[in-house]
This record gives sequence, C-alpha cells and structure tokens, in this order.
Amino acid sequence: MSNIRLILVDDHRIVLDGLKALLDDMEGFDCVATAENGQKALDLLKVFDVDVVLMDIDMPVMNGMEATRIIKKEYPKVKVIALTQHSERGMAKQLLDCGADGYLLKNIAQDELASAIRKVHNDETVFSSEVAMTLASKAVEKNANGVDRKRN
Amino acid sequence: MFNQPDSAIYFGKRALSESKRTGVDSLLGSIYNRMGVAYDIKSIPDSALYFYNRALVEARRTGSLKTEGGALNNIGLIHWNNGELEKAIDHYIRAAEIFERIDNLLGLGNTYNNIGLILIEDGQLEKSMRYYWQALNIRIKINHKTGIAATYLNISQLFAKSNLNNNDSAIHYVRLAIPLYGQVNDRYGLSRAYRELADCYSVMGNYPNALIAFQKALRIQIDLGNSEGYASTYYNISDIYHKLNQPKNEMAYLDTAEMLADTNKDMSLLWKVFRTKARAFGRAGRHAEAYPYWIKYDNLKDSLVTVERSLQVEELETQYRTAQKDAEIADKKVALAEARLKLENRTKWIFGLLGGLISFLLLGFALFQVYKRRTQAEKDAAIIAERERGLVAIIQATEDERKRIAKDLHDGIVQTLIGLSLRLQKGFSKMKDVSEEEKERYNESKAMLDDSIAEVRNISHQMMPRALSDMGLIPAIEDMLNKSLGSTTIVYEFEHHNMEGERFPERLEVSLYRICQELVNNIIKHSQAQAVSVQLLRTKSHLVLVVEDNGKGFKFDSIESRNGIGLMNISSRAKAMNGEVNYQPSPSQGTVATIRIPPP
Repeated sequence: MSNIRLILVDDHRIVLDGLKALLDDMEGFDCVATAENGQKALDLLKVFDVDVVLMDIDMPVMNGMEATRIIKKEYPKVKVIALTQHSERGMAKQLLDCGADGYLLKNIAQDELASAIRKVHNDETVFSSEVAMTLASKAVEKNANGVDRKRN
Repeated sequence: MFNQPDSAIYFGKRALSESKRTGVDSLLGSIYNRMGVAYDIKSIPDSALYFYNRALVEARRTGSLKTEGGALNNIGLIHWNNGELEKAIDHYIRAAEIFERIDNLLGLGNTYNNIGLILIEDGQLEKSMRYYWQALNIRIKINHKTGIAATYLNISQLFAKSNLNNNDSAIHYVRLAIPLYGQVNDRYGLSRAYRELADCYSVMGNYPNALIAFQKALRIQIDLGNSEGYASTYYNISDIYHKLNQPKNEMAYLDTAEMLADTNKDMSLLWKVFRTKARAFGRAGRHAEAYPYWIKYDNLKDSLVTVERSLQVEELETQYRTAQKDAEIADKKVALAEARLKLENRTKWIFGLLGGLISFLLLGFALFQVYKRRTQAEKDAAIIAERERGLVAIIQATEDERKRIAKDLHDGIVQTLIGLSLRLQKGFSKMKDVSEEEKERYNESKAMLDDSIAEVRNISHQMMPRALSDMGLIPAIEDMLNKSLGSTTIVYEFEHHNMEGERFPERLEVSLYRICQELVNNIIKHSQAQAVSVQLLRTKSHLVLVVEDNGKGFKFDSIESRNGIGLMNISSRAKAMNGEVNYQPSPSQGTVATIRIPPP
C-alpha cells in the first residue's frame, strides 16, 4: 500500500514545521508540499497528485473555507481535513457544508492525527473529540425560514 | 335801659299787657318805641323796625307827636344802619319837623346831630357842619351836656376828616368835649374823646401828646371793661411807639393787641396786627419771625373780605377784590388744570414709558430665558451627543483593542504553542527505551501545554470570537450559547428569522453579540432559570434581539446596583447604535429583555 500523499496548508511556519515533523516520523505518510494560504494550496494541487490536504482556516489571501470549497469542487477525490483552533459549532457546520471531510484541532495528538488521516483517506468523516462534542450539543436550533413562513 | 335790653323788653311786654288791660293806651306808642329801642340795642333790626312802626301808628292815632317824632328818628337810625341813607335822612327830617312843631328841643338836637352824621357819610360835609351847628346851639340852649359834648366831638371829627385838614380846630373842639364828658361822668364818651384827640395829635405828628391821649383813653376803656375798644387802642399805641422809634414798646403793645383781638375774634384788628408785626419783625431783621405773620396776615386777608362786607364802599372793594380773586382763582384753576393736565400727561408718559420699559424688560427676560433654555438644550444635546460619541468611540476602541489582542494571541502565542506542542510530540516519539515515569512526565507536560493553548485560545475567543467576524451573528451567538450554556443545566433555544446568511457592519454585529452575551451571563449568574430563549429577527424597521428566561426575574434597580456595569454596557451599546433596551417580566415569571436597533 502506497503512502498517503499530503499537502499541509497553514500561514504559521512553526505549525507547518511541527506538523511536517510529526508526519515525517510516521510510516505511511508522504508530505509532498506545504503552502501558506489557500491560493498557494490550489496552485500546488495543479502540480502534485495529492490524497489529503490538511487545511488551516484563518489565512490571508484565501482562507481555508474558500479553498476547501474549490478543492472539493475541482478535485472531488482529494480529501480535506480542516485544522483549526476553533471548536465553534457554527464553524464546524460551515466547514462540513463546504465539503470538508474532517475537522481537527491543531494541537492534536500524533496518533489521533495519523488515525484521522487514514480514516478520511478511507472515505470516512472525522472530528476531533471537542468538535464532536460541540456538534452533539443539546441545543435545539429551529429552522428560521420555516418559522418565518408560518408567521406570514 | 341801654345796659339791660332784655329786662327792658320784659318790662315793655308787661307794660303793653297792662296798658291793654286797663285801657290806658296813651302810653302805648311810647312803650312800643322803647321796645323797638331795646331790640335795636340787641341788634335785632327787624323786630326793632316792627315796634318802631307800631309806635308810629299808635302815636299818630293818639296824636302823640313826641312819640311820633321819636319813632321817626329811630326808624331813620335803622335805615342808616342798613346803609339806606336817603330813607334815613327822610325819616330824620320828618322827625325834625315834628320836634320843631312841638318845640321838643332835646329831640330836635338829637335829630339834627344825626342828620349831620349821615350827611358826613353821604359826603356832604358842609351841610353836615350846618346841622351840627344847629344841634350844638339847641343843646347849649337846653344845657344838654352829653349832647353838647357829643356834637363837639362830631364837629372835631368833621374838622379832622374834612378836606380842610384842620387839626387845630379838631383839637379845639375835642378839648371842649372832654371836660363836659367829665362833668356828666360819661366815661365812654370820654374815652372816645381822648382817642379822637390822640388821632389828631398823631395826624399832626405830635406823637408824645398822641401817646398821652391814647393812654388816657386806654385806662378809661380798661375801667369800662370794653375790651373791643381797648384792643384797638393797644394797637394805636403800638403805632405811636413805632413812630417814636421804641420797637420794644411797640412789640409789647402789639402782643397785647394780638391777644385781645384774638380773644374778641376781631379779625379786622387781628389782620392789622399781623401785618404790623410782620413789618416790625422785618424792620428788625427778624425775618424768620416775620414770615409766619406774613402767612397769618395773608390767610386772614381772605376771611376779612366777608367780615367787612357791611359797608358799601368796602363791599365794592370786596367785590373788586373778589372779582380779582375770582380771576386769580380762575387763573389759578386754569393754571392748576394745565398743571394737572401736564402732570397727567407726564404721568401717562411716565407710566407709558414705565410700562413699555417693563414690557421690554419682561420680553427681553422671556427671550433671554428662551435663548438660555435653547442654548442649554443645545448644550445638553451637544453634551449628550458628545457623550454618545465618546461612548461609541470608547466601545469601538475597546472592540478594536480586543480584536487586536485576540488576533495577537491567536496568530502569535497560540500558533507558537501549537508548534511547540507538535515538536514536543515529535521529540518524544523519537526517544527510545522510555520508562513509564518518563512517559508520564511527557504526558503531563503535553497536557499542560494543551491546557495553555486552550486557555489562551479561550481568552482570544472571548476577546473577539472568530465566528463573529468569519461567519456573522447567527453562528457566533449560536456558538456563544453553546459554550456558555452547554455545560450548564439550562436548556436553551435559539431562533432566528429572516436573517439567514446576512451580514451587517462589524460594529452592529459586535454590539448585538456583546449585548446577548451580557444578558446570557446575567441569566447564568442571577436568574436561577431553567430555560432560556434567544430570538434574533429582522423586521422592516429594526433588528430585534429578544432574550427571555424563566428565572426569578429581577428588579431593575437591584440588578443595576449589583451589576450596574453589565446593564450599563448593554444600554450604552444599544444607544451607541441608536437602539433601545426594554426589560419586562416574562409570561413565565422570568424576564424578557428586548433590544431594538435600526439596521444600518
């Protein structure tokens, strides 16, 4: 089984370096390139054949959400895992709406990261435990437009 | 009889009734005549005339010429007193004819004397003198001493008065009168004679002799008790002292004259005294003392006008004076009216001006007040606007600063810590033969690092939620509610209407987010609620945020006092967006907070 080919996208060099070092140590992962924003990631995808993109959200030039939407549209086979510090429910939901395949927090443990990448590569959807909890919160959100129509 | 007219009238009446009762009426005319004399003396001329006429009728009926002559003489006297000189002379002449016919020389002498007196008054001095001579001859013939003395005195006065100005003759005749008065002991006549003598001397400039004569007259008058007489004598003596240049004596006699005149109410004399005293003080240079006498003199002058009306000449004078006075009064009235008119006009002007001034001042004051209030209102509005601007600026600055710090934390420290965390993992994974103790220490360190990351991330998030700037109000509020209430027992629901995917200016989103956050924090801290409902909706005119809980409710005041800054922040943020905040009890006994903000 060939290594999973990855692109790392983050505007913080220290994070990119950390992730790369972490993934390089592990068997089965091939980190083909790193990019500092969404646009650069799109440029790289034109050149490299990639299985999974680890995508930061808050970035200059093009943010992770926009980049994810384009990737999922233009390269449907490429998996995108959002890496962020945000555990907001709305954010997770929006990312999922953009087509992201996973949603992990950046300071994720090495094992968990490897596991998540593999799962995504096998067409699964992954969330880090905090995000999962947020998504499973007890809040009941009503459909706004539905209620609005009733009132009319 | 001359002294006791009342008794005379009484006895006269008794005589009348007696005469009628006995039928002896020969004396009736005489009685009527005497009654008339009594009334004449009492100064009741109408009654006197009545009795004289009755006497006349009775005398003619009985043929008593003596009584008829006497009555005619007496009627003449009444007319004389009334100023009817022609009637008086007519009666006197008829009386004289009768007295001549019966050869009653006493009566004839009296009547001639009277005619002489009247003629003097009528200005016929020579004719008067002839009657006096006839009277004198008759009286000498019958040795009627009082009559002789009286006629001498009259002749003397005639000489003194006449245009001849023959004072020597006057003194001669009065000197003839004096011993005769002495002989018959007619002290009244004597005093008159001395006064006449004094007048003559005075006119001649022989003041020492005049003084002696006046003082003799004065002594007799004092003896007689005739205060009216001696009051004027005091005045005359003062005049002599003035002529003799003895001011002290002059003033002393004037003082006495004044006192007596005042007592006698002799206004004519008083008037003269006032004038003389005023002049005397004036001559002495005592003007302060002279002044009140001038005033008294001036005041009395008016009242004398009426007192002295009895004599015709003076009446004319009075009429003239009165006319003059009337003219003066009329002039004065005109002047007064003019002055009053002027005064009224001036008063009107003054009041008009005053009124105008007051109105002007009031108007000015009112305008000033309006101006002041408007200025104050403008000032207040400016202050409020400035405060609001300040508030907005503060809120904006605060939010900007929060955003900056949040970004610094997020992009700086958090990323660095994450990088550190990742490197730590890599380093540990490369270590071989790791003991359990070392592995545990690594896990602790990793956990501490991750906690720090989470903590800093939370701080950053609270300072400026990424969701708000990245995804807008609804996801941000949703996330805030989840984070705040997700770990509590409070059930919440969030509804949003007509706002899906819509974005608003950052200031508005941040404000509504912060307000919602503050309200939810208050509910958690104070309400003891079990459920919270948050609604965000857009109406035609407003963005409306409704936060409702089923807690114990709160008293606005107590909350404000306890947690004033929180509520004040809500209010300030709403105001900064031109919005409003309203708190009401909720249907479920909690609180409904409604925030309405106009959309940009």
